[in-house]
Amino acid sequence: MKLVEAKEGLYVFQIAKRERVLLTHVLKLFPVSTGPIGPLSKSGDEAKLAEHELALAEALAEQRVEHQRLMDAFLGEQGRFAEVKGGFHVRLTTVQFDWLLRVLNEVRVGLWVKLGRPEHLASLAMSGQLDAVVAMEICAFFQSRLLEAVGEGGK
Amino acid sequence: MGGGIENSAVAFHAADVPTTIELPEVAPDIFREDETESKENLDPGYLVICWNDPVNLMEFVTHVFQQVFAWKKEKAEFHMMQVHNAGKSVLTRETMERAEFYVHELQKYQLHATMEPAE
Repeated sequence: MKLVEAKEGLYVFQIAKRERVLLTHVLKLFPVSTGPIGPLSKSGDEAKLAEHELALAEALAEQRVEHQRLMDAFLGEQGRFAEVKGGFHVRLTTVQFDWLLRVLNEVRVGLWVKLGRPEHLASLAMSGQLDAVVAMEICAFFQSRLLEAVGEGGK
Repeated sequence: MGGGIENSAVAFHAADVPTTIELPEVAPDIFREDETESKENLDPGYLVICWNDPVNLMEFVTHVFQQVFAWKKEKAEFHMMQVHNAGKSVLTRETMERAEFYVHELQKYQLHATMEPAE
């Protein structure tokens, strides 16, 4: 996956056929998370913050619904992946770019939480969790390519 | 000729106007408050803290800090490295409402952020 063009808030990436399969595979895993990655506070007054914790969970649930809607639109849109020599061109607005990064990270972090928040992934690959570990690494691959391609300094 | 008349008028007025104006002395209204809020009594607010984890990519964390706080890359990287090396970074100190807003935004990116009462 590499950046082909970036202008006026629109990014065009070239993506190989195999990469498209991998990207679609991990995107279809969404949503993985079912709640916040952590509590709102570690040392706050629990009773005082109870309703705020609920508000956080609700905000994240709303975001998951919205991301799912955008996901369906993204994968279902005619011409989203325009075939070119050696692969496809995929066009992303800055909003879609940020959204794609969030979704990939949600899948990556969500799988990590499901695996029990391990410190290291290597051992899990040998213990029957290979699919999840591979999916996490695929997410990381696309996240890195996206961030690298647009050169964060220029954003 | 006309200019001469004008000059005379200026000279006449200039002679009448005092160079300094004496104002009556007015003392400012200063009241001494017997009881004021001590620094300790002011709301210390909440710290927004980002905690380290082994799953979020370093460049992604930098990206999120830039997005959420509109920081320049250098500042975002500084805090990202602090999270990475020290295990946590205090990102900002805010009122409860603002701190909660930032924690929501950071957690929406799957970063482990919390708000802690500032001492």
